[in-house]
Amino acid sequence: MAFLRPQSREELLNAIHEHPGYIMVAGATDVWPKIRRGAIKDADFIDLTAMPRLEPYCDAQGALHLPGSITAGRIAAGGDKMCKKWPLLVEGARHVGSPQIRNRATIAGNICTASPCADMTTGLTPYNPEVKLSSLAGSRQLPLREFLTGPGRTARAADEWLEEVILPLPPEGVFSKFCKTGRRNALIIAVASMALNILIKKGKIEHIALAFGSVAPTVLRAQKVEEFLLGKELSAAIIEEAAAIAYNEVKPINDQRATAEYRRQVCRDFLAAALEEAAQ
Amino acid sequence: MKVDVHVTVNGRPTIWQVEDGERLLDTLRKNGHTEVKEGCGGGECGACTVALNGEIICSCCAFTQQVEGADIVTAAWVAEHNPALIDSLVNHNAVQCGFCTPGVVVAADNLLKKCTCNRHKLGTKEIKDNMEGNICRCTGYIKIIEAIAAAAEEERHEV
Ligand SMILES: Cc1cc2nc3c(=O)[nH]c(=O)nc-3n(C[C@H](O)[C@H](O)[C@H](O)COP(=O)(O)OP(=O)(O)OC[C@H]3O[C@@H](n4cnc5c(N)ncnc54)[C@H](O)[C@@H]3O)c2cc1C
Ligand code: FES
Ligand code: FES
Repeated sequence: MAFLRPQSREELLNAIHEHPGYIMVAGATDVWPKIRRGAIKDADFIDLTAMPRLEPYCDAQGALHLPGSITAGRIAAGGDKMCKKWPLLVEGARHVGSPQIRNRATIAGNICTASPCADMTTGLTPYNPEVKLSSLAGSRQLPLREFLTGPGRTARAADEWLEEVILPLPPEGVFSKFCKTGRRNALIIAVASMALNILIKKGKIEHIALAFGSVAPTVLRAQKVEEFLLGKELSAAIIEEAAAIAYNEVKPINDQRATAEYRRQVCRDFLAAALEEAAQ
Repeated sequence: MKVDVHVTVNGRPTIWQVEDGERLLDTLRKNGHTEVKEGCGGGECGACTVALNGEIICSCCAFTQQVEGADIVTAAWVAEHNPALIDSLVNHNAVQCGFCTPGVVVAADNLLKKCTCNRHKLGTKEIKDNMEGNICRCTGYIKIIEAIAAAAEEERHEV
């Protein structure tokens, strides 16, 4: 077994180029439970934690660039700007596991695990983020939506490293709401979660971005609900109809945590309550 | 292949010789730190909690090689340096079987340190949020929360 600890970006890109079969590891909060379950066996690793720690920054367009290595704990502590401009990201991070887990769990790990219930991923989704993937051959940028291809599956090539997550600036005055329900916060998997951004101008919905977690093979962008609501005025009847569309658009499963029917109802009720709040 | 990992554990600089890919929890226990417990082994119960460079983590979810150069604190250090917290746990009957206690002690000490820095009164909600990663099968939590609150009050009056 090998455990490589590259100290720089260059060393890392060389290491993944030479050993595309090695598993990258950051906070190890997904990797260790997988080793324990036997889902990862006889593996070799490339550890990302010896690399220099990078800080988030905003570019000239106001977009937020998060290093893949930033932890849920750092995001949850938020800066003023992060809390004000990208509150769903901060809320998503606050809902990850326990303090112990948040101190290790990275955003890149949350995205690359590609779990439908990943909370940071759910919180990010309404911002239409892009991921920056880097290899020796260079870097490419991909919308998160195209990156997540199925449960546990991504568009990442074996020699690519998720270097950055880029969040465009949301429209001014947007109303944001994050909701999650589960048996116990510090447990891995939620029953359902929702992240909503909505902008109402002169009574009409000018912008809407809605994501649900734990109710489809990937974090779901609820496009049918969005299409229905865009340009409409919020009334009790419209809210009820939108909630009904959400109920049908999510594709949950039955598991030991909840039934599919209960998950649908939770999504419907989360959305109705959030829209009512937004309308006020 | 054995590799050297340099750490400071409970204030003492140490070199561990570990196998590639060894788990921090196993290394700690092999090197005499049996106060660090294994409960679930999956990040959920907090029995294996240690402080790594001042932040609490689950030692069952970390590779030993990842903590190269780090400062690690276990319950043994807290017992020596924060006896008021230990007394408070004992006086509030917040220890029954005691299996969760080493993890609870590290997490609570970490929280108290953060509070003494900003000197605010510690509320129940804040204690609960910070202890969310520590499962206790015996006490029902109320005693643990009260013990931490009392220890915090005592500290606040001392500084
Ligand atoms: C007890 C417990 C509770 C949890 N609760 C929650 C929860 O409430 N919500 C939630 O969303 N998650 C939860 N998780 C899951 C986990 O903590 C998160 O998904 C976390 O963000 C994973 O990050 P990590 O750095 O620990 O990933 P790692 O375990 O280090 O890696 C995970 C995967 O991502 C890959 N990877 C990591 N970084 C990169 C990179 N830069 N480029 C390419 N690939 C990379 C790795 O190869 C691996 O396949 C929980 C986990 C535990 C153990
Ligand atoms: S043993 Fe590590 S969290 Fe349970
Ligand atoms: S005292 Fe027994 S688990 Fe907490």
